[in-house]
Amino acid sequence: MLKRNCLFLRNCISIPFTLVMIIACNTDEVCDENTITNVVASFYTTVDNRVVDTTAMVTSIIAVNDSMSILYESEDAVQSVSFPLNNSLDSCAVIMDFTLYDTIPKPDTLYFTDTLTFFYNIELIMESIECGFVHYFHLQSINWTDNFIEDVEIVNPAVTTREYENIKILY
Amino acid sequence: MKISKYYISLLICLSASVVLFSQEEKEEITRIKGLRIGYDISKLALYYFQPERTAFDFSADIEISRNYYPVFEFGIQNVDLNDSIYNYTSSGKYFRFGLDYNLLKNKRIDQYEMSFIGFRYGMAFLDHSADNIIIANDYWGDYSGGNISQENVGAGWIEIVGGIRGELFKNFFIGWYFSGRILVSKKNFNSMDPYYIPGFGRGDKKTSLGFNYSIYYRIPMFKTKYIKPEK
Repeated sequence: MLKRNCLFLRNCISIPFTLVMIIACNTDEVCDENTITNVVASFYTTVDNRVVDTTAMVTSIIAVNDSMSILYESEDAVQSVSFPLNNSLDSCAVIMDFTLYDTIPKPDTLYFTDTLTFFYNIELIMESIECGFVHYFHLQSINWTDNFIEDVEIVNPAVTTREYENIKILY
Repeated sequence: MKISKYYISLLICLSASVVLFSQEEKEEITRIKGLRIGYDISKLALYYFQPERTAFDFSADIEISRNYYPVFEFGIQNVDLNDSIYNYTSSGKYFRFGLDYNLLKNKRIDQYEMSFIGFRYGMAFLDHSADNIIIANDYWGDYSGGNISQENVGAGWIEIVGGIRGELFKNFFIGWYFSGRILVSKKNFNSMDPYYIPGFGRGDKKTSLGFNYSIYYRIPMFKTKYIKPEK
C-alpha cells in the first residue's frame, strides 16, 4: 500500500516538472499572419455591355502625398492590382498610369493617367496577439478622372487582410 | 504471599494484553470528508514564462458520495503587456464548476488517492484596453498613438479534465490535471480579442489545453468510522 502511495506521489510531483520543461522549450511566438490591408482593384473592358478583356497594363500607382510614394509598379498586363490606403486619414488619392498598345489607325503606344480618390471609414482591429493591430477599411465612395477609366464600381466595400476584389475598374 | 502477588500481577498483564489484542482485531478506520481548498501553484511559473501575466487560481471540492466530487474553481488574472507595437492591459476573473469522478478503486477506506476524470463549465469576465498602437505603413507613413478604450467582455466554455491527486500528509494533498476546453460563447469580442481569457486561455482561439498543479488542504469536517473486519 505504501508502495502505491509513493508511486502516486512521485507521479503527482515529477510529471508536472517534466511538462514545465517541455512548455519552456515551446513558448516562442511569431507573427505568421498577413497584416497587410490592401484594396484590390480588377480591370474590365466592355463592348456593348460584354466583357471582352479582364487585363490592363497599369505601369504604376502613386500615392498623392508629400513623398509621392510608388504603391505599385509593373510592365505586365494584369487582371488586378492591390495597394494600401492611407490609414491616418479617412480619404486618400492615388494616380494610376496606364499604357495601351493600339493598332488602329496604326500601331502606337498610348499613355493615360487617372486619379482615384477613395473615401472610407477606418476600423482598428487586433489581428492577433503576435501581430498586433491592423486597420480595416470600409469604402464609402470613389471619385475618379475619366481619361482612361470609364467607370468604377465598389463590389466589396470591406478592405481587410483577406484580399478579395473590392472594386471593378471599367475602361 | 509473594507467590500469590506474582500470579495476580501476571493475570492482570495477560488480561490487559488480551483486551489490547482484541482491540487491534476490531480496529476502527476513519474516513475523513470535508471541504478541500486548493491553490494552483503552476501559475507561479508564469513569472518566468509569461511575465506579463499574473494569475491566482483557487479551488474547492468535497466528496459527496464515494468517488464523486463536485468542484468549484475561482481565479483572477491581470495582463500588463508592453510590446513595441502596442500596450495592452486587462483585468478579469473566472468561475468554473463541475464534477470529478475517481476511477481508482482504493482498497482501504482511509485512502484518498484519486485518478479522476471530470467536466467543468467555465465563465469569465474581464475589462481590457490597448493604447500606444503603432501600425507600420511604408507608403503613407506609420500610424501611431491609436488606442482602444476599455471594453467589458465575457466568455463561456466547457471542458473535460483528467488527472491524479494524492495525499502528501494528513489532510494535505497534491495533484495535477489536464483539461481540454472549447469556447461556446463570447460577448463583446468586437475590435480585439482578449489576450488571455481568465481560466480559458488565448482569446483568439476556440479551443485550448490547460494544466493545473495544485496543493490542497482538506478541512476535516465529517468523520465516518468503519470497523475493520476481524482477520
